[in-house]
Amino acid sequence: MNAASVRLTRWAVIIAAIAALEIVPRAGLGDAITLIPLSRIVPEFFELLSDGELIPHLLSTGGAFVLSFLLAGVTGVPLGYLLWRYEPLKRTLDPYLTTYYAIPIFAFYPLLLAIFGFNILPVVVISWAWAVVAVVLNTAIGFGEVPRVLIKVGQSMNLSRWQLLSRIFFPAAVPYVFTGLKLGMVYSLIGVIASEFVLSTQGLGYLVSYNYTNFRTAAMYSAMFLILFLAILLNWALNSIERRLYEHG
Amino acid sequence: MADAAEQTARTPGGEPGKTSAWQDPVRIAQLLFPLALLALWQILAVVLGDFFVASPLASLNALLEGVGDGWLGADAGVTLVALVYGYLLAVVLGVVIGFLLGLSRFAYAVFEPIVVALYALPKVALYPIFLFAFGLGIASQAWFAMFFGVFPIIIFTMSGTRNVSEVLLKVGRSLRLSRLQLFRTIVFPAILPSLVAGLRIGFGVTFLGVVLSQMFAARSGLGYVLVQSVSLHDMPRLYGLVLLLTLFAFAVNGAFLLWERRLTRNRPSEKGAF
Repeated sequence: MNAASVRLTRWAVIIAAIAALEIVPRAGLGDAITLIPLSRIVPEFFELLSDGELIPHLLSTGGAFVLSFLLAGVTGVPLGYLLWRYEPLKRTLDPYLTTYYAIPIFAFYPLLLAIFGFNILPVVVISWAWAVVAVVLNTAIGFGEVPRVLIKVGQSMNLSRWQLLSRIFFPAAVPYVFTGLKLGMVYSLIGVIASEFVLSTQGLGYLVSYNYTNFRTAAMYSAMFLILFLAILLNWALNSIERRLYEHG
Repeated sequence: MADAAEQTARTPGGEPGKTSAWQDPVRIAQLLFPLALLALWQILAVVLGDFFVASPLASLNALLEGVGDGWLGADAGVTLVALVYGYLLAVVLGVVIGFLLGLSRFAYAVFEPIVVALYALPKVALYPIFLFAFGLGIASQAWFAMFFGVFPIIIFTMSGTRNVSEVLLKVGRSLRLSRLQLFRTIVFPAILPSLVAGLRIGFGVTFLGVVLSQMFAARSGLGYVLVQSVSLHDMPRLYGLVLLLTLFAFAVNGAFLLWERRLTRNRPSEKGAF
């Protein structure tokens, strides 16, 4: 087994999946109204991109995404650090933190809508809540995984507490914190799209549900493709940065 | 995430032997944590008023009224049916696909990144495709929830199968075990711990899928009642339902965690299984 043949097969699988999106609807294997071949969605996709109507939705999704991710980073990293510093606190909260993602957090979204009204705030809050715990957990793990040798070297050089933190702990924890931030970013995006789709008045997720309820099937698919395209791009970029960080670490 | 849970099990604070577990301050703090949340909830209800926060008692009352009126039983029933239906689909498909992909080193290398990438995509917006395929109703909710839950189950089953120890397999073969015996005595017990972790995480995600799908274009189910309560601004009902869903998820997840812990207790810890 060599890496090239693995990669080749993987691309063959992906291309076959994309081809199926064209062939299955054309072969009449489904309802002609709801199942549209890829070649009819792609022009719609570019029309969506060039159409000015898209811009407010893109801005709304982008704004909510950036805001909730920044909030998750700004609150999650210090909280993770605190958890690592105060071991009893970490051990107390551990069972709750590990159970956190088992809870359907989006059940809180209608609650937030009832509190804040229909605007960007409930979207940001729910996406932050969805993302922040991943950041907290990975930051706490990252500081815990700093090799003992490095700490001993630092101590033997008589580094002060602050020097020890800034020269040893922070650099050593960077890859883990980045993994946390990466998950936070992915979760923020999922949170924003999900809440927009379920119940809102703006954004790319809303665009899908709007086109669905108005029977604009081709436009609906093109909005879906835009979401998936942006998400894949984001994941790909984050994963390549992450790989580089761990190689150096 | 499983790692963190294991750590709690492995590093008990100070020297709490079995007898002094109840004197361990961490243990006590853990038990007090839900009470602290409850107290915080009550305080917020008093400070912010019932337009924003329904008190715990009012929320509980709304649930009890729901039981009396019958809607809670009916809608919880719809959610439960969709959940069981979707979860069974996710488990069967996830375990079979994960096991098959894990058997071959080549298939594993080809598909692992694809499955992981699919897991990380915002799949919610694809729900209309399921509505087209299965119509409005429980089937579309169940298949959509399956689409959420199947990926973690595939990933954990796949890596569990991939990591079955070569040495153990050789021992089994040298004992001339039949294929069935080999599976029952070596392969299955080796896969089980990571399989159970996959089943646990898959359950949580499937549940999320059911609730989300019922929030969109549904006529019944707890997700539907949640969204309906927003337009009615029925705060006690909203808080009550969120509490109910949270406690249910917490309880099921706890049961899975206990099962996992029992499986891994007598084994050397295997790092790297997420």
